[in-house]
Amino acid sequence: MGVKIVVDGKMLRVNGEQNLLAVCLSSGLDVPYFCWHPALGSVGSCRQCAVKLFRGPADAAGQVVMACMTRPVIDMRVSIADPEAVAFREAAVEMVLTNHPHDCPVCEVGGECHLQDMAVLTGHHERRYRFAKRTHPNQYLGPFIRQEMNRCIGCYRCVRFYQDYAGGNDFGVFGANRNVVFGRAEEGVLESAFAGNLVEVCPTGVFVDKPFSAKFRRKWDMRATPSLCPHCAVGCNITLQERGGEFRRVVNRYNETLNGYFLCDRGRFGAGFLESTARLRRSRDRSGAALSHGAARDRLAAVLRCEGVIGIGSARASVEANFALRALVGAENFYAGGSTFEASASQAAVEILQTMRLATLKEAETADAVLVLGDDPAAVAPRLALALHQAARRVPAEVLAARDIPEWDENAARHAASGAVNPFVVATTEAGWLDDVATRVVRYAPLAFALALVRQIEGTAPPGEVALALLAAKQPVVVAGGDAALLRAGANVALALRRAGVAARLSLMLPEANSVGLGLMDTRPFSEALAAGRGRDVVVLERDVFREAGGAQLFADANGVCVLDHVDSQTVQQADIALAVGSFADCDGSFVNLEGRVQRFFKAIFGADDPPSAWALLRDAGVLAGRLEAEQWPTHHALLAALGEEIPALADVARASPEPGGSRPATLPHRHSGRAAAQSHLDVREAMPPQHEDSALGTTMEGPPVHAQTGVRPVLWEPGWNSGQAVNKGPARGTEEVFLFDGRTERIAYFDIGEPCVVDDRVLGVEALSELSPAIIARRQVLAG
Amino acid sequence: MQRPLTHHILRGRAPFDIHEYTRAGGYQAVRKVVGRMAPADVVGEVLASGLGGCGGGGFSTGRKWQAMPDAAVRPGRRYFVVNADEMEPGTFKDRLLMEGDPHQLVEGIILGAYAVQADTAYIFIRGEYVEAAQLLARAVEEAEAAGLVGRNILGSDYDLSIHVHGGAGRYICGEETALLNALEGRRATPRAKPPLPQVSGLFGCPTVVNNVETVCNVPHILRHGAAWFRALGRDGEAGTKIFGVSGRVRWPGAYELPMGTPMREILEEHAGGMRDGVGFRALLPGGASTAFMVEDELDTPMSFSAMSARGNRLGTGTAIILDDRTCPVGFIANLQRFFAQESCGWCTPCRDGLPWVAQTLQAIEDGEGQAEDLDLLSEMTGHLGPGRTFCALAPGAMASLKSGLEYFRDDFVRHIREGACAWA
Repeated sequence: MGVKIVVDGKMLRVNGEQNLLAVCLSSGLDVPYFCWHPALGSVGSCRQCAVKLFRGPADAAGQVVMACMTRPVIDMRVSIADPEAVAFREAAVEMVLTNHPHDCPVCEVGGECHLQDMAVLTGHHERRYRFAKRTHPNQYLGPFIRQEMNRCIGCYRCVRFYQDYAGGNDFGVFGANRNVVFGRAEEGVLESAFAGNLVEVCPTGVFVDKPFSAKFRRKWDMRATPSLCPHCAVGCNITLQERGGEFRRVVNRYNETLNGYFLCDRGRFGAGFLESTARLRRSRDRSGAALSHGAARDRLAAVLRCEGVIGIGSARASVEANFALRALVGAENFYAGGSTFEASASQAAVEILQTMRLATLKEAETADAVLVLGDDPAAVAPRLALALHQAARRVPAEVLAARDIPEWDENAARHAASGAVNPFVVATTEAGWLDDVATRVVRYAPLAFALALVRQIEGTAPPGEVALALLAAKQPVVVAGGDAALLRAGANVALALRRAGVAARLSLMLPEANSVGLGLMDTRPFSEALAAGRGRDVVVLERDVFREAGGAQLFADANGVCVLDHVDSQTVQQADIALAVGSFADCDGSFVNLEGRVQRFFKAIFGADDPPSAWALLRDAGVLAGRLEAEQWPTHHALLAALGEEIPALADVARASPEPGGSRPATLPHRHSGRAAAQSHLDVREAMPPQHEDSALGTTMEGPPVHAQTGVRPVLWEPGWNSGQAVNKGPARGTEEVFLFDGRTERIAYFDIGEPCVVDDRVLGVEALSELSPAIIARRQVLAG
Repeated sequence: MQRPLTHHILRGRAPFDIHEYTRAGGYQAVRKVVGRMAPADVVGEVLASGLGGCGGGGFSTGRKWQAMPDAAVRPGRRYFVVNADEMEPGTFKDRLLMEGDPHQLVEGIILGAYAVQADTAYIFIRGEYVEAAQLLARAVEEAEAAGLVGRNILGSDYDLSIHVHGGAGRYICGEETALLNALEGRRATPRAKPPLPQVSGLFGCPTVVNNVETVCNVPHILRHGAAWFRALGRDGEAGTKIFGVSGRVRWPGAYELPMGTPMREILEEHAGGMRDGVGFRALLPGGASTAFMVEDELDTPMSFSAMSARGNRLGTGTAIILDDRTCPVGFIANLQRFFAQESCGWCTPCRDGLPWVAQTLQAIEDGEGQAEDLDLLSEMTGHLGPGRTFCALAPGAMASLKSGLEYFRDDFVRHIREGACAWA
C-alpha cells in the first residue's frame, strides 16, 4: 500500500514498511543519524535524525520528532530544513563530540568516518565544551579488533549487533550516564565468529580492523575492487582494497539478497592468506629452481603434449580454471578430485539444483520456520548461520500485529516477542552455535529424522511436533548439509511440504567457494583419478592432494605430477613442476555459490610481476602443446563462450561476466592521491596505470561510479557520505544477479535417497586458505594459550 | 478533614497487621469488589473518581486502566506493577505509606489488579527501602494466608500473586518503562512509546504501572464511592494528596491534605513557615523535576491541572525550599549533577548534555563562569527539553534550570562578573 508524504515541499511515495528516516535517505535526502542501521532497526537513542513533523494541513507549529521512530502516515508533512530541527541536529552532534578525542589525523577511520560526515552535514564546526573529557582505558580484544574506547559516541550499534543480531554474549554495555562502556567484562579475545563487523557497524573509530591497521592507508588512497569471499560456498560479496600492489583489507560489499551488510570473520580476516609466507609466487621445478613465466608455460606445454594426461580440478578454483584444464585434458580425463564423500554429496547437490530452486540467504533469513539437517551451518557456512540466526530471532508477525508495532521498531519488537519465537529445529550430529536459539534440538541420526519427517508430513505416519510446526509455517526453510543421502532427504522434506501446500524452501550446505561450479563439470572422486593416473602425467589444479586419502600414492603411481596453485603445500613441494598462478585477488574468474548463484570476481591487486591466471596459463600452454587453436579463447569472454557451448548447464556463467568494453567504472577513488609521487624516489617518471583487458572495471580514477550493465559499484561514495554508510543513500541499487537453471521446471517427485556414505572424513570449519592468514593463525594461538 | 491515606499511620506505632487492618475496615473493598463487581465497573468507578497518577504525571488512573486490551482479544498473562522506586529528591511520601500502612497498598493492588484482570503483580521497590520491603513482604504473606491473595480469591475464580522486587539503585527505574526493563533483568533504559505498557509491557504482555500513592487511594474509592472521593478535594479537585516540605521550615514533613490546597497554606500552616532568621526565596513544588515557584505564585492551588495551567508540574507534591542562606547557583548545580549522574546513558542529549550543563553550573559556582555560559545554559534547556530526549529525565532536569535562570538571573550574572560565590 502506497502512502504519499511531503518532505520540504517534495512529494514522496512510500511503501509504508519503512520508517521516515529510511524513506528520506532512500529518496536521496540528507538526514544525519547514528544509531539507526538498516539491519539493526530503529531505537531512537542518538536523537540525530530530528525533523519537524506537521500533522494535517492546519498544523503550522509542527513538532520536532526523530525520523527513525516515525511511521509515515498519509498526507504527513515533514521538514528537514526547519530551523528548529536544524539547530537541534547540530546540537546533538556537538554534544556527542564533547568527549570525542578529535584525533582524526591519527585515526584509521578518518576520511571514511560516519561521525565526520554527520558533523559536516549538520554544520557543526566550533567547539564550545571546555571541560575535562571523560576517558576510558582500552581493552585487548584479540588479533582481529583494536578498541579505542575514547572515540565512542554511545550509539549502541556495536552491542546491538554483537548481542542481538549475532547472538554473542561476551560483549556488552557497562556503566551508565556518560561513562557507558562497550566491551567485554574482562579483556580477551572476542568469541563471536562475526566480531569483525564491529569495524563497519561502529560509526566512528572505536573498533578498528587490527591487521589493516598495521598496513593502513586512507580509504581514498586504496583501489577498491568488487570481489567474492573465497572461503566457503556462500560467496559473500566483498570489496578488496589494495595500494601499491599490496593487499590492505576486506570490507563488506552490500548485496541485498546474499550477505547484506555483514561478513563472517573467516571472510574478513581470511584474505590475509594473500600475504602469507606460504604464498606460491614463483614457479619452480622439483629441484627448487625458479621458472620464469615463459619457462613455466613451456614446461606445462611439455606435460600437456603427453598422451592421456589426467587433470584434477578444484572446488576452490574458478569455473574458468577448471574448465580450461578439463578442455585441455578432455572431459574423460578430468576429475573433480574430492573425497568419496564429497563426490557423492556434490553429485546429489547438482542433481537437486537442476530441478529445485534453492533458497537465497535472504529467504533463509526471512523464513518463519527452520529445519537444519546434518552439518552445523556455523562451521560450514557461517554467513548462512547468521542469516538463520535472524530467522530464529524474527518476531512472529502476529505478535507485531497484535500490538501494532512496525518491524523496524527494534526494541519494541524484541520486548513484545519476549520468548515468542518461530519454530527452529536443529537436527545435527554435533552441538553447534545455533543450538542456543533452537526451539528443538535433535541429536540423533539426522537422516532417519528427515525420512521420518517426510512420512509424517505426507500423512503416512502420525505427525510429530516438528512436522506440525513445519506444516503450520508459511515459508519454512530446510537447510541440509552432509552426504548425498542427507541432501536428498532434506530435499524430500521440502518437497513433501510443497506437496502439502507449504511454500517450503531448501538450502544446501557445500564445502567450497566453487563446489557447485566444479560439480557441474565433474563429480568423480580423487580415488578414481588416482587409479586413472597410474603411469600417466597428472596436472593438479589448486589442490593439496595430501588432504585426500591416498594422496601420497599419487606421487608413487603417476609418471609425473604438475601442480598449479597460489599457495604452498605438500603437493607443491613434491611436485615435479609447481606453477604459480593468481589467487582470487590477482585474476578474473567466476564462482557458483551454494544457491546456484553465479558471481564474478575481478583482478583486484596489481603487482609488478603477477603470476598469470590459471586459465590463461593453461590456455597458453595448451596452444603451445597443440591442444588448442591459437585463437580459440583469446579472452576471458571467449573462454566463457566456449564453456557455454561445451557445458550448457554453465552457459549462464557468461551472463554474470559483463563485457569489458564500453565505459569501465573507476576502481580508484576520485580523491586518490600520490599517483605521481608514490614511486618518484625510484623513478621520477609517472608509471603507466596497470593495463588489464579481462575485466569490465577500469584500473584508474577515470570512469563512471557504477557499471551501467550490472550495477556493480567499485568505490562506495556519495557526495557528503565518505563512509560505508553511503550504501544507505539514494534508492536501493541492486546488482544484476545470475542464477543457474533459472527457467527450470520445479520437480514434484521425491529423490531416491540412495545409500548413506559410511565414512565421513571431513573436518568441518577448517578451510585451507583462511588457515594461512596470519590474523587467523594468531587468534587460534591466543585461544590455545 | 478526612485523611483516608494516612488515617492509620501514627508516628512511633508499628503499622497495622492484617487483623488490626481488617478490624479498622481494611479489605472491605476487596470483599465488596472481587468476584462481585465486574472489572469494567471497577475501572469505571476509579475513572469517575478523578484519581490521577500520584507519581507526578497526574494522568487519569481510570483511563490508564481502560487502555488495557480486552482479555478476550489478548489472552495470556497480564501484569499489575506498582512503582515504589521512590528516588525523586526531596520525596518521601511513598515511604510513609509503605512503612505506615502496608496492607493499604496490598489491598489497593488486589483491587487494581482485579480491575485490569492481571494475574501477577510486582511491587518494584527502591533498594534502600529495606524496612518497607520487609513490611510489604509480610503483609503479602498475611494476605495470602487470609485467602485475599493467591488462587481463587474469596471463591471468585480470580487468581493473583504479588511479588516484592527490590531495585538496585538507579533513579531511572522510576521511569515506568525503564522499571519494566529492570524487572525483566535488562538494563534499566526506558522504552519508546508507543507501544504503551498496557499494549506491550512486562515480558511483552499487557501491563499497568501505578505509583504507590495512586494505588493506596483505590481501596477508599471503592469502599466509599467516587462521589465521596471527589468531594475530598478543594476547588473541584478530587481526593487528598500527600504533600511534603523539606528545607529550613519549622516543621518539615509530609501532610495529607485536600488536593488543590494552595502552596502558601501548606508552607505557612502545615510546615509552620520558615525558621527564624531564614528567608524564603523559592521552592520546587514537587521534587527536583519541577520548576521553581516564587513568593507571588504561592497561592496556586496544588493540583495537577492548576500547576499545569501555570506551565509547571505538581510532580510528587513534595516541595524543596530554597532559602536566602543558600546559593541558588549551587542549589541548581547540585540538582544537575544528580541528574547527570543518574542519566542512564541511552540518549545523546541527556547522556552528554547534562554533564555539560552540570560542569558549566559548577564552573559558575566556582567563580570560573564565562559570559557566554548563560546563553549556553538557556540553549541547553531547549535541546534537553520535552520531545528532544528519549524520556522525561532530562526535560525534568531542565524545569528547575530554566526557571532558575529566569528567577535568579542576577545571582548568575554576579557569580560570573565577580568570579566568586557570595554565599561561599
